[in-house]
Amino acid sequence: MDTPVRIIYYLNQFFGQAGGEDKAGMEPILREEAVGPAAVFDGMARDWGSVVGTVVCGDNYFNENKPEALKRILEMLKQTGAELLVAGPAFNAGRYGMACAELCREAAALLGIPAVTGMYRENPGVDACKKDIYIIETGDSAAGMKSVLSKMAGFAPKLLRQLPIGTPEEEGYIPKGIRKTVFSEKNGSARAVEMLLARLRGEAFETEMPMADFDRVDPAPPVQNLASATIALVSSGGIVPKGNPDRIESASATKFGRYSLAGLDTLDASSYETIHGGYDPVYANLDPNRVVPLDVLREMERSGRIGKVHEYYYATTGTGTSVANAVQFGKEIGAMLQQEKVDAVLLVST
Amino acid sequence: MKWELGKIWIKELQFGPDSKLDKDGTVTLDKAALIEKLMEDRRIAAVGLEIAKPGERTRIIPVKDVIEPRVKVKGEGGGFPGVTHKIAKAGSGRTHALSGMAVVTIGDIVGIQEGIIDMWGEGARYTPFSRTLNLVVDIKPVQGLTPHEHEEVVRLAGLKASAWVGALAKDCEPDELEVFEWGSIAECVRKYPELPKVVYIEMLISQGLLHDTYVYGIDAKQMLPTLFHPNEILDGAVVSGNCVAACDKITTYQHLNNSVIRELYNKHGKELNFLGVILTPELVTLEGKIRSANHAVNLALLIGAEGAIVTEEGYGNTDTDLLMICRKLEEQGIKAVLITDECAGRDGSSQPLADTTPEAKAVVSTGNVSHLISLEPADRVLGNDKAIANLSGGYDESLLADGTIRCELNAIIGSTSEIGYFNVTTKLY
Amino acid sequence: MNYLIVTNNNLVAKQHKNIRFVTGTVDSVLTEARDLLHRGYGLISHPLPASLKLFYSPYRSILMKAGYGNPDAFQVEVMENSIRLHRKHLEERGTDCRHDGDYQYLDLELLKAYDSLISGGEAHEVGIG
Repeated sequence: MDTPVRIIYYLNQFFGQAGGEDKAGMEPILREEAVGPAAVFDGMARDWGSVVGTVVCGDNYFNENKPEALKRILEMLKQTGAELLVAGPAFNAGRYGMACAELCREAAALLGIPAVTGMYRENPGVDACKKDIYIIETGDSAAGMKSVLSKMAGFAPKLLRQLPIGTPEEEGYIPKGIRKTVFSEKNGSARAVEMLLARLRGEAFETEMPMADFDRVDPAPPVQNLASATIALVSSGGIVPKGNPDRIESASATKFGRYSLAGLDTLDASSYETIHGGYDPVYANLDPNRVVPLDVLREMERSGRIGKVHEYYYATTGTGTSVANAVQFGKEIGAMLQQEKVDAVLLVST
Repeated sequence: MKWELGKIWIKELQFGPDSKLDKDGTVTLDKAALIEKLMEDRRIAAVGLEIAKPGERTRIIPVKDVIEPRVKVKGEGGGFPGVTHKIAKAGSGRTHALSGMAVVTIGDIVGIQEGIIDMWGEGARYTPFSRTLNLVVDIKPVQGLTPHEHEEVVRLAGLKASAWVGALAKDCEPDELEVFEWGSIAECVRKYPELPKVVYIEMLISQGLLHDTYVYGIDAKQMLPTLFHPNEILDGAVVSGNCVAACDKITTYQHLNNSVIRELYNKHGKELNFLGVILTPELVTLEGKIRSANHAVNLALLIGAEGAIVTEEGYGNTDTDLLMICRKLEEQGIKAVLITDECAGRDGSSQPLADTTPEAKAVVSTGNVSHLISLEPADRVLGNDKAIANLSGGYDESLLADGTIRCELNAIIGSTSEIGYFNVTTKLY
Repeated sequence: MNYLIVTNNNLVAKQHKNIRFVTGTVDSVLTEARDLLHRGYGLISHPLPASLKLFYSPYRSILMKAGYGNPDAFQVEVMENSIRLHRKHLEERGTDCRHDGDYQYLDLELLKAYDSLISGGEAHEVGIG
């Protein structure tokens, strides 16, 4: 029998049994054993591999110190002679998903180590890496852990042996978005007539070319009278008071902040900064008004073009933030603005 | 209207002293006689005739059109009415076809044409015309013709050659007889009141030189969308004048054997009620596109369609027409299924269509035109082998040292037929 | 009709009136047309060709007309989509410069589809912003 494949397993602080949110800042450690899900995976991989180590890293540490975290974990992979990296599954946990995604991608690209992970379709980690690596699809909670691990354990040997990989439906991975040209049994005309008949009979059918699915929001009616309107500032550009009092994440945000503008004429660079991890922060930090244009709005307020500037602004980080979280923020912020009798909102994109 | 198509299965194709069609399916052609016939057009300086058979290491390039040789044996009209023969209504009586054989015209009208048929190997897998016995007609025009005249000369020569060869089947007993009988919409609805009513909207490229289609001899640019009896199209009402988009143009052969019409006919009276074909031109102006889409959809509505198959020809500005028609159909409550190819980039990771609309819920994909394939070096090249270099377009790695060509599916005739004639599709991985 | 042909094709410029000549690539022609769209011109022709091959042409002529006022949302969408798509294709496979003359000629020929629209047009001063 071949020597078992050396597997290194990646887990966050929670699944790595180091602690909860209080341990989210922990630096990566290497434990020379199979911990938690890694132990279950180890059992399932018995015939072909063995988990020789588990890397455990805090979600915040990874996301806030990405280059350093990656460097250290990749070094661990090299040291241990890893032949396969398994990460997660991260289910719908955004920060964990981002860590699994980035680590798997880098391990495969830089070290040539095959890597597999598991996530829920809407985890922001999916978009970050689905093109580059295989992500086994999971539900949105950890309830299905065992069946996901068994799918991952079944799939990994194919990657290792470079066997042909089947369709997403056959293998259980999230489509990588690659449209392969293949031969079909029936010609296109026959398939089209069948599809039309299914539609006409009200039966299920599957399009061969899904259109990009945009969530269209109808624009609000125009503001009737700007001169009497209260305008609020809302931004996903990550402009927060210095020190980031609410600890909003620099990517994959799970929360937003609400900050007073009372008595302020401008957002001064000495008191405000961006924590956004998705764009070059230099110009926003030089002048935070570039993202949250309080200075211009104050001028318009003085000249009477707008009624007044609402006394709070709302901020979060857009990059990597899951659609579900963003929708939730939108609803909550919207409800508050409504209560505070705001007439219009200025959203500045970054 | 009743029309019969008698098919004679052609098993062998050869040149010989006398033109004839034997009972065993062997076609013998008198080369000199056919050349003489084609040279009646004084704009032709020379005609080359060659035979290409399935399996041979032969490459045909650049292909302009493919035509099935046929002859009208009973009923009105003949050939391609309004083009090769006097104007008449197509689609009734009986036509004989030399099934399994094709006339392939080649002609280097401008230097940028693609259009490959490989009779063997990897390339052959991607085109239906590697499976037919091909009579390759190479037309050299006299000097001083404009590209428009040149295009016309080659187009007409191909149609004439197919009629000349087709005439051999005039008195033959067909191996197979297909009957296409379809009365009026009112009659169909009365006969099958419970079946869903389906119309076919066929979009035709109609934009100018090398991008045209002719309907009963009329340049399709000049027409409004019009309702046709399906038999008319199967019997020669539509001729291709499009020879830039090799992979997704509808050759005249494919008009004659339109697979959507055949499929709808097959299920007519059993699973659906086929209401006919609306031919609609793909114009260049935005207003023209809106007008065509409005009118095509209006016709579908007027005849009471509940469902429609819509097929595209081309890529780029024609995607706008396709999705506009789709949107308007769905707005009117007519369920649409579209057939189109896609341009998802070499690695298949780009957005497949030029345009998107949420109403395009049901789409059949006939393959990614940017998909890369390798063509081995040929033993024999029919046509202009310099044209092979043109395939490379802008990428220099396409021609390898050993003569292998790497090219996009885009260059292969009929590979991603947007009437769904062929068996290529894409799958999401 | 007050039409305008935005083109980078010399052959078109020589044979037609009301030319807005763009020195540069097809991208420049598309961008110029886009800008004109926001300055009161309307699109008559679709900015894209009808076959993939012609995406690699170094020449493009786009027919516009004056007097539209505010840009039409549909036209803006068509224009922006066209620019995006053109760039996508050129990224993958550059412009085909080997058949310059053929492409130049074909671009001129494809303008003939608009003959009825532009033949009667009076020459007019083309001066925009």
